[in-house]
Order: sequence, then C-alpha cells, then structure tokens
Amino acid sequence: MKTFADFVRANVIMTVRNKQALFWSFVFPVLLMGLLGIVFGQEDNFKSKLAVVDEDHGSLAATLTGVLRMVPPLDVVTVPDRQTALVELKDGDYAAVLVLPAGLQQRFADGATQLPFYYDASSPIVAATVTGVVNEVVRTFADRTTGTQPQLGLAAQPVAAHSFSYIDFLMPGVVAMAIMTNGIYAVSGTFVTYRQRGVLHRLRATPLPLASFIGAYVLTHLVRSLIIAGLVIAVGVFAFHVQVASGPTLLKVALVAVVGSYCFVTLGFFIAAVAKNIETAAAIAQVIGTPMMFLSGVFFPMEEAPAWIQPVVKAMPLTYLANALRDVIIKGETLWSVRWDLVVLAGAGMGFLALSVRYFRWD
Amino acid sequence: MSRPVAAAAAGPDAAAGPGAAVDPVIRVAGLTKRYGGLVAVDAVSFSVRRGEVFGILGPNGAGKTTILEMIEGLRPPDGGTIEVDGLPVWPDPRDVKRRIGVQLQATALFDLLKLHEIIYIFGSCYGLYRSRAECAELLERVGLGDKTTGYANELSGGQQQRLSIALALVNDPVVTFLDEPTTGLDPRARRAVWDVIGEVNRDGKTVVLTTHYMEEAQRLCDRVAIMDFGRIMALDAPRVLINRLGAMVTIHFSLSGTVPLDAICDLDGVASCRAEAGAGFAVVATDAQAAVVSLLSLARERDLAVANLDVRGADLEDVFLSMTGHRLSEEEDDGHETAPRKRRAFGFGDGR
Repeated sequence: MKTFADFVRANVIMTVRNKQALFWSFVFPVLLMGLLGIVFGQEDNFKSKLAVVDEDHGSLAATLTGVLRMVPPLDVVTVPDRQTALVELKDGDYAAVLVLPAGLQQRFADGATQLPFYYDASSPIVAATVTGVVNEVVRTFADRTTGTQPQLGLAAQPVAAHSFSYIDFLMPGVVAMAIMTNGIYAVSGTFVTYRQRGVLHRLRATPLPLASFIGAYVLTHLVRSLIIAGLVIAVGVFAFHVQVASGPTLLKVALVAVVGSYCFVTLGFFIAAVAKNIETAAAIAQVIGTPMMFLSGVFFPMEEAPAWIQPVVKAMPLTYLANALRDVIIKGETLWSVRWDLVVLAGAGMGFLALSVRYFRWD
Repeated sequence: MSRPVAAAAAGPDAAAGPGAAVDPVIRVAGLTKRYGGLVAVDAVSFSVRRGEVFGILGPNGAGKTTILEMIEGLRPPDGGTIEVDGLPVWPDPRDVKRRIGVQLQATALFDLLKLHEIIYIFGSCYGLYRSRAECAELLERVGLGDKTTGYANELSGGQQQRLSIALALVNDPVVTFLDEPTTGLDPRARRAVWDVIGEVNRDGKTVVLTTHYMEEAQRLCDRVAIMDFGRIMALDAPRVLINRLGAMVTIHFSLSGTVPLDAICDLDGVASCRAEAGAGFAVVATDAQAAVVSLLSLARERDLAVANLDVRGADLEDVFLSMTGHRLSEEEDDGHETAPRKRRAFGFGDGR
C-alpha cells in the first residue's frame, strides 16, 4: 500500500516537473476554452430572441409588435400559434415568448390585463433582462396608446427549457476533448517511452507487481483528468458565464469524467501496446484522436451532419462522453438519464483493456 | 523436457569439476533457450560460489544476456533448472527477485526524478522505505554522493552505469547481476565502474557479470565461463585457463611482401594463425622457439623482411581464440577479423 502511494507520489512529481505535459494537459484546454469563449461567448448574451404570438390580429397588436422590434436588445420573431412557440421555447430557440391575446384593444381599454409571458428558466440572467425590457415596453406602450394608466403587466411563467448558447454547448465538449487527448496521447506516449527505454523491463526485475505500477499511474491520471475538467469548467463559468445546471452537478461531472477517462486511458494503453516506438504511437494517437475530435460533436452538434456519417459518429467513444457531459453540466440531467453513455464508455474501456493485455510487451 | 545428452556433456560441468562449489549460491543445470529454430542457450550447466565474482565472457550473441535474464526471472527457460540461494527461480520468480539485485543493459530511468528519489522508489518496490540519508549513502557508495539531487539524464555514461549498480544494490541482495556493466564506456569510466564492483565484492557479496572485455574478466573475476554460440567452452579461474594453454605464446609480426596464410599456418610449432591489418599476422604457437626459427627461414627463402615481431604470453583472449577459433571482441579488431565473424554469425542463424 505504501509502495502504491509512493508511485502515485512519484507520478505526481513527474507530472509537475514535466513542463511540456503540463502545458498540453492543463494549459492548452484552458487556453482553448478561453479562445472559444472570446470568439463565441458573447453571441447570445446581449441580444435575446423574443417570440411574439399574435392571437389578436388587430392593429394594436401589430403596432406593439412593431415597437418591440425597435427595442435594440430584443431580437423579435413572430410565431403564428402559442403551441409552436412554447415547443420551440423548450428547445431553446427563444429566450421568451410573449402572447398578445385576442381582444387586446378591449383589454387595454379595461385598464387591467396581464399578458401571458413565458421565459426560459434555464438562463435566469437573460430571462430577467428580457422580462424587464418587455415589461417596460408594454407598460409605456399602453400608457401612450390609451392615455390611461392601466394595471398592465406580464403574467410571467417560467418554462424549463434546454436553452443553451454555443459557448454552453462548447464547454462540455472541450472538457470531453481534454479528457480524450490527455488519455490517448499522454498514456501512450508515457508507456511507449517506458517500454522503449527499458523502464518496464527494469521494474519487472523487482518483486513489484506490474499491476501496482500501472494502477498508480491510472489513479494519478484520473485525478489529472478531474483537475483538467475542473479548470475548463471554471474558465467557462467565471470568464464566459456558461450556465451550469444547479444541483450536485460537479459530483455528476466527476463521475462521468472518471468513466470517460477510464475509457481513454485504456485506449492509450492499447495504442502503447501495439505501437513499436514513440513515433508510431504518436501517429496512431493522431489517427484515432483527430477524427474523433471533429466528428464527436465536440465543436458542432452532429445531429445535423449527413446521415451517412452518423454510424461513424456513433462508433466514437468521445461522442458518448461529450453527450453525457453536456447533459449533466448544461441540462442538469441525472446520471440515470446518461446511463447508456456511461455503459458504452465503460464497455469500450473493458474492450480496450482486454486488447492491451493481449498485445502487451515488456520490451 | 528431455534435453540432448550430448550437448549437456559438451559443456563443462562446474559442479563436477575441480574446486566444485561447496555452498553454491546459484545452481544452473541443463539450461536451454530457443528462439524459433535458433538455440540461444544450449544445455548450459554451472554453479556460482557464494562471495565470488563470476564472469560470463563471450562475444555479442553468445547467449550471455539470455542466461542472465533466465536466472533473474525475466525470461522463462525452455529447459533445465535454476536455483538461487536454494530457491528455484521458475515457475514463480517472485521470491528470487527479492534476493537478487539486477543491473540490465542500457536501462534509462525516470528522467524527471532526482537520483535520491529514484533510489527511494526502487527501494519501495522491495517494500523498503529508505530515508533520504540512506538513499544518499547508497549513492555515495557508487561515487555519486554529490549528485543526489541531480537528474539521471544529466549523468555521463559511466555515472549512469554506477547509478544502475546502486539500484541493483538497493535491496541489499544476496547476488548482484551486472549485464555488461562497462560496455560503451571510455577507459577511465570503465575503471571507476570496476572500482565500484570491487567494492561490492569486498563486502562479501556475490557478483555475476557478463562482459565481452577480456581485460575486465581477467581483472575482476574469480572465475570465468567462456561462452560461444550458447555453450560454455571453458570455466575456471582466469589464471588456470591461461596456464592450461601451457607454453603457448602469441606471435605478432608483419612481412614486407605477400605470403599466403597457409604458409604461415604451416610453420613449425604453430597451433593457429590469422591475418591482420597491413600484411600482419598473429599466430598462437605451442613452441615459440621453433615457430620463430621457421618464420625467419621462411622470410629468408622468400627474401622478405620481418618487422614488428612481438612475442608475448597468453591471456584470456588467447584462451578464447584457441577454444573457438575466432577472436572475442570485435571492437579491438580491424577489418580482417570482423568480416569472418559476421559470416559465421549468418551461417549460425541459417544452419541451426
């Protein structure tokens, strides 16, 4: 046990002293997150989509819609019926839906009415802004048109929507990608080097079981993945206001990250087992890692990709890690709802482990 | 498994030979290893006495490393038995690994750990949790006392070998195995490693080393097994092996004109002969006087001058040459000798 702890400590020391590994494992994902955040992070924050459902079809409703269109922070679209608008709100297409009910003129004249208003509760800051702006516009409008001071307001209702902006989409993807690259590149590189330089052979001459040595390495590696995930999430949340779902999200993220890490660590071992030397290992890691990075929905949603490529998307472990992280971090879903992603990752990990053992060589 | 009786008989059996080990720390019997059709180690038997420095001398590819790795529990043999300190190495070498120290050829270590940390982590592999001072003390023993907080990749080749030896001593082993500890080192670094090995042995520790340097074996080893093509050709103290050649001497000379090698080999009193660079020859003679006299008369007949005439007593190199018909170490050779050795190596690979 003490020996195991000694090897964990040695791995930590070696990681900290390895400047290049530190950069690629820890600094690079954070830089990437920062860069993507700067480029895409501002997109949906200032201008928010408001869907207006005109059930009145009168001139007053048309004028109000026109006024709303002129308010700079709002991006107004008209939707023919309330049902469609609410479904689309849930899909995250809008920040809010304002309904102008039939008989609007009469309601204004009565001086007391509440306009149905639905907002996306998953992004509270945007929702609060839009609600405030719309409320102000409607009050002022009613005041001007009727000359009275009607008790006009919004009957605001929160709607649990899966609304996320591109940066919200990106952040879990970057976490997944960092876990993947950290797994396949770092593990294969380290172990091929150990084998090539005779370190494994030398350790084999001691009574230490190889499993302890590898176990200590894997444990260090999992912790490393968790730190990377934490760093990327911290940058997303604090620098770019990524909306992280409430609840024990970080615990769920940790579990998903560990399962994902396990999958890619074993893939890294498999690469190390089949690669003859460090150059081959790097090449194999590239060949596996690069398509995975672009076809697993890390940077773009793959649902809209052509149908013929879907089998490839489904065959990539990173797809499942990115999906699971996204569902847990942004949508706040339970571990139970991402169970199949976890099963696929763990299963693939078992497969890679079996292959690694099959092809393992001491020297 | 059944092993060829003839092959076993061909190798000298140290246990039955003169000065058989009373308390052998290693007993090897009928040890065999094949790689495909190639017999790398051919039914080898010997024992190593407690407290001695035992050398396995032979050219590259003779099977030295394979033998060592089978004893160290790193490579399972195809036949034969090995006991270390009374324990069988195979099938489970774990207990033997605890009792031995191993230095492997060309091991690079963790580049990102300091020397004292490397010593510690290897100690930890044996369940020994050495203090920083103990780690430094071990480094001191191999002359690296001033490098404890340095990194392995900052060391010279000789220093790295001494670090390797320190790691082989980390568990205070009963036997220390050193696989070509000075290969590739310059003469000064080599002597520093020799000093360390001598130091280890002075503490009463058994050392088993392989080498292809005749001088190293002669200087360090109490007994030497001479290996070629997977077999032990001779095993005894270096002095005994050399004396066994009797009055043999090696005569080096060059001639001012071309003379066929056969004519040199036909000289009186010559046991073996070979051509060397620059119209030079080397002959091993059983009768030095007869050989020199007939050489001079040959030169007079053909009207040639004899130059660089050098007559010297035998050393292990000559023992090796007389046993195997070829020279031991290629790097001391010139072009004349490496070529035949290579040819023979190919023939070996194809033939067996």
